[in-house]
Amino acid sequence: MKPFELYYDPQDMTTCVKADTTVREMNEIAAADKLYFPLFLSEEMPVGELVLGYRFTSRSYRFGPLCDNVLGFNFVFPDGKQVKVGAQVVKNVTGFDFARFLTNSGYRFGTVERVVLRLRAMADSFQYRRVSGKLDAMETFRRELLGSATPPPKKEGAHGGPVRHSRASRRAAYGQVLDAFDFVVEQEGLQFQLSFSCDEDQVQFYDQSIGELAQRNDCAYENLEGLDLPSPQPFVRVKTLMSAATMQAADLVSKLGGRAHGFVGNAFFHWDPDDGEALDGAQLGVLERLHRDVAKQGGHLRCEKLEYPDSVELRWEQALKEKWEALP
Amino acid sequence: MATTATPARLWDPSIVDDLRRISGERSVLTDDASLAAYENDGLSFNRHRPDCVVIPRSSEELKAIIQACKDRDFPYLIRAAGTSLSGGPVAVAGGLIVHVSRLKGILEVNVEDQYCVVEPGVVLNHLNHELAEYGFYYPPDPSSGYSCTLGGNVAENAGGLRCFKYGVTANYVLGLEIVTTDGEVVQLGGPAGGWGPSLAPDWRALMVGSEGMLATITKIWLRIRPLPEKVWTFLAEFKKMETAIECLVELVRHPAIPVALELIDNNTVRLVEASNMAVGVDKESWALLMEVDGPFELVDQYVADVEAIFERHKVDNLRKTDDNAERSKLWRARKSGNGLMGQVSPDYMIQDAVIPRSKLADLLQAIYDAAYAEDMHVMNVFHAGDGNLHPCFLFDARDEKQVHTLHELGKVLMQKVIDYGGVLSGEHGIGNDKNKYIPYFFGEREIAMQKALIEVFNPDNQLNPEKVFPQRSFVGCCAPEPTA
Repeated sequence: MKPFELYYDPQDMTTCVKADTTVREMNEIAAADKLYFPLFLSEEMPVGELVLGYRFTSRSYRFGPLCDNVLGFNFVFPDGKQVKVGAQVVKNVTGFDFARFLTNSGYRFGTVERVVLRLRAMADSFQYRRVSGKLDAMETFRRELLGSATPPPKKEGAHGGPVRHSRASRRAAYGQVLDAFDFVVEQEGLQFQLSFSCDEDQVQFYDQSIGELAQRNDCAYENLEGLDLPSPQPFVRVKTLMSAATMQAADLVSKLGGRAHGFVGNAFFHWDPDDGEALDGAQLGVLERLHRDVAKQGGHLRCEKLEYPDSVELRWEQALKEKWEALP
Repeated sequence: MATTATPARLWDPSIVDDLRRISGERSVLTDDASLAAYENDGLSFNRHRPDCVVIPRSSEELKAIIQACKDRDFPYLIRAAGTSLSGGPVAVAGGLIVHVSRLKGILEVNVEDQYCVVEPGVVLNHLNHELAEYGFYYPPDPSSGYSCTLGGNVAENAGGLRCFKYGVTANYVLGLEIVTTDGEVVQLGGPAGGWGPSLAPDWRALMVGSEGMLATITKIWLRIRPLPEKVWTFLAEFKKMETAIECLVELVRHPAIPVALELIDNNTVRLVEASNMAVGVDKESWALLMEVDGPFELVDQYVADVEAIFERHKVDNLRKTDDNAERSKLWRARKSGNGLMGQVSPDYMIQDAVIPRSKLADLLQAIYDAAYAEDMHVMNVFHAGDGNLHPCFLFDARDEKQVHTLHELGKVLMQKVIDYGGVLSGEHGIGNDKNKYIPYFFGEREIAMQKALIEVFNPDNQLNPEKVFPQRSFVGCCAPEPTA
């Protein structure tokens, strides 16, 4: 099977680049056609490292996780054998979805050599805003901006099952048109950083809509030069629930210091202590407890300093590795 | 191959007693009349009768049935509405069909964290009806939404009309509870999305679109979204295919991101306009259907932009509306097409393939040329924004020559799709229909890589044998009798 060749197709809005190409190099070429690849933590990061090492970036709020935007790659196993994974089209159900499976798999199965990415149309204007205020007010702002509609009184047991729902907030559908909705927690407090991209004549609409919502909740609303992107090598990564992310991050910072940076819509946050090497057993215990909490909801906490029990996934991984080592 | 008659088996009738003990007398079907209803899915001409069907009433019963299959070394597959179009939930090798339509509980709707939890037999439109009461919806929308189930949607990684903006099923599955062929119950992800303790592969992603070959899904966590405040629908008419596609390419690049971009070919336009479903499209035209959605104020601002793009491409006629009744009328041009094909032909087959958009015009022309050379009617109504083609071939399954021609056209089409950098399926799956084309797409090593996964989860091919990859035969108690 022929591996992916390098190409750039502005009409199809896809490109295949070498894994050591940086996001900046790729986007400089695409910019000529008003296209770009929106997901990155640093524009200087090579695409291969981004694809294998990361799940979300700020603009995942609008464009989804990396795996929604990686269409395929030439995958290289540790023994040098190469296979083609995925395709160069945006929909593909031909065989198992190994492109999605291996994106963000670290280097556990091998590495990528060339990557096919989905590009997006670039708007005329990229705008950035900061919202800050008291924790309660910020939580209300978050819920309203995320656009949960108020549910009517609901009967139980429809379609054969018990139905329950948690507290909902008022509708604010302009939350759907944001590119990024990040939070930053430091000792000084919590702030949200928002990004939206649109035509010049739409900037006022966004500003007015979001600004009014911030004002209604007694939050400050101000311009930013750009997003304060999270550390590419975080000490801890946490995948949790949207309703819990900011509070859990604030709790970690209050107990352990440091700084947390998260993506509200994807309920994912990074935390970096002031000095990770110096964390003692009690502090690691705080992280372990958080891990157990998020695991109950199907989330996780990743920290190299913590040990995790064996899992069925690790068993499957070992079995699959053995099979793949024997590939022709 | 997959389409041969079901071979004689070493039937072990005692499994029926086991199944009756688990699910009750009336939930186990063995008579010919009942089994006939399970012979095929939406791919109507490819029929294989199962030996037995069981309809569990709960996921606990389902788990017990899987355990019984394991203990008895019996082939089985999971099926719900059977609306798929590639012969996936069909008992090619005989054996047991586990029909999960009774597992239809909507277990939780959580608007604050924007997810819901459902059982595999929940009908897609029933879920959206429920979610609408909260101002939410689940975006993937295969056209069989009135009857297809979410378990099937996950197994096939279903797409639909709104995929262009909102993505396919894989983009919405937060978690799955599965039962392996060993009977082990495993939760992958959940409301928070999961992914394990360290940088790790996404096992849940492999279950989505696995066509029922890896494990049995018993519970699904799905992401949901707030309903859009407003939608504008546009129906544009073009005299030439090329002009319509050029316009499409520019619409795709609009930063507003269209929700849907559907192309309706002139053959289909003529069919619709000659029927009582006519919507007033010029009979000489190709039609392009497009939608944009968003907040009230913003979506109204998109309208002028979109109109300008249509005008630049010299649209012959353009209608637009934000009125829901009128929108439904415009959508009739798209949605009534397939039903009308069924009225004018004894059988029709919808193919499914995806190619880069830049190759759409070339491939469409190749499809018409190949079909007309064989005197076979073909119509194209498809998700053009995604490059997802659905050529519909009209034929008579009673005529062996036509069936042969259909298979030959399939080969020509799939080879061209691969030559253009495309894939065998975008949303219908491979099933037992397209497994013969798998070597067109994958090399020997890639096939071995794919089959290695089945060896891990389903080493004896006990679960849904004979699908996707050729020669995936189950060898167990009901394997074909040796011929020598």
